[in-house]
Amino acid sequence: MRKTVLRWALRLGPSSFRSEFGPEIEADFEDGWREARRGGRSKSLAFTLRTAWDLGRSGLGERWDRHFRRKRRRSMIGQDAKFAWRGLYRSPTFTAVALVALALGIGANTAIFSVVNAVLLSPLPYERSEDLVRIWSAWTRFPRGGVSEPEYYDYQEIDSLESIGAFIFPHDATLAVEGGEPEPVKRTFVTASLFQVLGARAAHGRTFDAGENEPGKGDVVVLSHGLWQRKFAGDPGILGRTIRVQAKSVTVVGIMPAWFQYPTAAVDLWLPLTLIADSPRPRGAHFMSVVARLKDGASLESARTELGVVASRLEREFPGNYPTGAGFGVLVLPLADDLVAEVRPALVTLLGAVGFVLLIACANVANLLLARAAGRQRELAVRKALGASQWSLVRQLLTESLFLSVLSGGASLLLANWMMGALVALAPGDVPRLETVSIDSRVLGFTLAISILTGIVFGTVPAWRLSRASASRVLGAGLRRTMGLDRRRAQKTLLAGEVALAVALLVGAGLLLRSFHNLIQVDPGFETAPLATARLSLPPESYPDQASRALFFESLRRSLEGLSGVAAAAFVSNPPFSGYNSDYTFYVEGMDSVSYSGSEQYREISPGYFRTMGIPLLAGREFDVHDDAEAPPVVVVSESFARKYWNGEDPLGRRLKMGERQSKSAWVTVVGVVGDVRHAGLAASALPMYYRPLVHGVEEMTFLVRATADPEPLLASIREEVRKLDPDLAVFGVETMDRKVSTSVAQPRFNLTLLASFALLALALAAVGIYGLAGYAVTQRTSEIGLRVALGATRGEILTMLLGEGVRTAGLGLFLGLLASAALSRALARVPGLLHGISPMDLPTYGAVAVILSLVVLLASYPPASRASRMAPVESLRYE
Amino acid sequence: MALKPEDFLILLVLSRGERHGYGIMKDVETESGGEVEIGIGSLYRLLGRMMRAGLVAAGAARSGDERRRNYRLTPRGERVLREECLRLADLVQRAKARGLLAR
Repeated sequence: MRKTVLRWALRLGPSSFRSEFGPEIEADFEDGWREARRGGRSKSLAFTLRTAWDLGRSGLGERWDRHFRRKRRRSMIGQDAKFAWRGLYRSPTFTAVALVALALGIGANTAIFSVVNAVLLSPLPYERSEDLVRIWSAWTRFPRGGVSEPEYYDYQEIDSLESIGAFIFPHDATLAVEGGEPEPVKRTFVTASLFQVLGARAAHGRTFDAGENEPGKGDVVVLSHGLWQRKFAGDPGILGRTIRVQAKSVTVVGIMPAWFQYPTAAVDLWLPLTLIADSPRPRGAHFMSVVARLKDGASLESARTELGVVASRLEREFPGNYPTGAGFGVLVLPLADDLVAEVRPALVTLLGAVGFVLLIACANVANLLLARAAGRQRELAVRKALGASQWSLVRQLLTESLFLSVLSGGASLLLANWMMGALVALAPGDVPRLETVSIDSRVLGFTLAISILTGIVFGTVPAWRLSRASASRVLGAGLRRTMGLDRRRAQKTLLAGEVALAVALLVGAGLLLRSFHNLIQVDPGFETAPLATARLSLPPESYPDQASRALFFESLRRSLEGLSGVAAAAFVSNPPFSGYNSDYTFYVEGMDSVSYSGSEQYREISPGYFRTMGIPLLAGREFDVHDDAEAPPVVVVSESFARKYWNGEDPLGRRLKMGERQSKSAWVTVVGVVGDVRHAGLAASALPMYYRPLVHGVEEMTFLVRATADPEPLLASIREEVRKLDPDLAVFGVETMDRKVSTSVAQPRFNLTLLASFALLALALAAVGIYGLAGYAVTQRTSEIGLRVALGATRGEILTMLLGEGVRTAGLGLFLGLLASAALSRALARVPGLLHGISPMDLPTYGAVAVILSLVVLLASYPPASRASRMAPVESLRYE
Repeated sequence: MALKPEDFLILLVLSRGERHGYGIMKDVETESGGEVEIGIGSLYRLLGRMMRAGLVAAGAARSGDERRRNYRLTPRGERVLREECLRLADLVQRAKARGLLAR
């Protein structure tokens, strides 16, 4: 009983008290009880009760004490915060400048980070998404190519892969619903397994069965959430109904959830990809994109090794499809990396650059703090003399800077929100997951973390320097001059660092600017304006054979040529800047073995294509209307193609054939040579190409209309002409070629715009810093100036003296910055796609930056110096 | 700064040598002629406070009685005790000078 009482009484106190003294108390209690017991039962009971009371009372007292001790610690922090607030409130200019600089720095970082977060860091929305991989065919000249159907079956045997699925990259299609206008949509053909690989189930209905990938069974369709909402108002009754995609009737069997947007956010519907395992499409037709899921426990490495083995086996077995020179291999990438492979380097570079901006802002605010310190030296020295420890002063000063930085962090969120909107609007359209950019908890955490870090970074140096000030030195006479030197050295170091960082950013931006300029000066190999383009995709249901398609395309071409304002019209299977490539195996007569190296591009074109595009005809002739299926087969090759195969000799009259050397296909004769075209974009090199008339009967064609003036009004007429010929056809991608070219350089333009804004921001911050330091130096030396003037120094001499300091400091910064730039821009040059046609050591850029920076330095330090030099000596002497 | 009577007595008891808690309690009772009785809870609360103030230090567990520790004065504790004694002596001296202690 008594032990229970004791335990309960002890429980009233804090646990730390119990754990420290519990055993002793128990021992004492037992000794005391035994002693009391000798006096009788009542004595021992009284002892127990008395002890319990005492224990309970002191336990509660102890709790109270501890609570109070904690509270006092808290109130100390509260006091620091109050001091901090008062300090900031008392100097509004300083606070405003610091707030703006920091908010800009932190806000820019937050904005860029929010993009990095959404695009690079967030996991993909799929189940166990880290196990998903993308499989590519890799060729020396084409590091990422599609997979052919036989290869797809080969890869199904791989042990490391749990499941494997394939899709065809989204293409345009016409969607028709009874009683509605034909609508352009993006469709993609997929294997039923693709949904399983990605772990995606339909939100309504189902996805595909494997049986639906068999020929003749695939008359079903799965809708995207977006299309379902847009076209069918989210009505689940659409399930089981029939819609027409490319004039083919298909039954809606499922609707995907909103998060499922594979392979791109633009996909509207999924259709079953027809697979014929018994008689697959040719091994050379690399038309599939493949996604797979790694088995539990299998690593990326094991998958790579296994696929590598398969690749070398294929090279041995099918030398015709995988010639030794082509360097065939299989590329396996984590799906997430693959998705962002193209934007990652640029985003990471931008994140680094924007970090520089924040560092500059930090240096700036640290400098401001140091400058402001002059007035506070006395206050701090007095407090120190009154017994405040150095630590408590540091703590108070740090609280102040943290207060400032966290406040700026809060303000920066508003700014970041706005910048984020601008970033998303400015970003090229093909950045994946851009629509998910938002300020989520991770971004908030990032902002808070960099705010705190910022506060510590810019607060530490001034806090340390200030708190070290000894009372006697400061409180004694002449405090300004003695303290000034030490602090000024710190300020100059900070300023030099700031200038160096700004220089590095300016050089980076300059290089990007020059490289962008080079890029848009690149001749794409054709006349981009005034040219309009539009894409058509003929449904095989309505246009079952090559003849009917050729007829339709040709009559459309003629009617377009008949429009007023049209100089010429033509069509092509894949126009430049479309992002699509197509190639075929071929054999050039007289070659030892296979000629095809994987990089030659194949296009089918209409008569008048080269004339319409403005691609120069270098030799021979273009195709004309007589080059049809009945005529002898002909081909036109590009300049680099001709150089590659008939180096220096006349290519006209030479022959090649589609397929391999043994292929039975007819010989095709070269009738013309045309200029090279950069099909894949301005930054890409021109690949060897060969053109043929419509022979394979491609369903999808792009029309090109050369206008006599502004192509803009033609866009509507093109739609109208198509409607006249076939009212059930939707027209895709109606735009001017100029806009297409401009879209193709959206990524470099985005990089440039951002880096240039950062550089300008950096320059502005550095200018403010220089101005601040110059102004501060002038107030510091006012009496000295007065004395010099009194002793006969001229205005010019004073001006030179005052300017000299800022210029020397900035000069040092400039020098260091140029050195740093030399190193950094080498790194920049290694980032793929950032620099084009420019050396990282481009002297004009460095020179221009040096000149711009020197001008800014002079402009920023001139006003304070000039003001001081005009001061009357009496005035300046009185200043002290 | 004056010490509380309990604190003073504990320091006084410890000035004669190390004691464990129970020993301190008993000695305080004896030293004060039975006038001051410190409860077990109060004792350890006072000891804890004096340890934090650096007047008293606790030793390791006693051999043979694992639950108990010995407490001793620190040099600072000794100094504080001496100063307190001087202060008290001074007060007594003043009282004497005014004839308050005359019989």
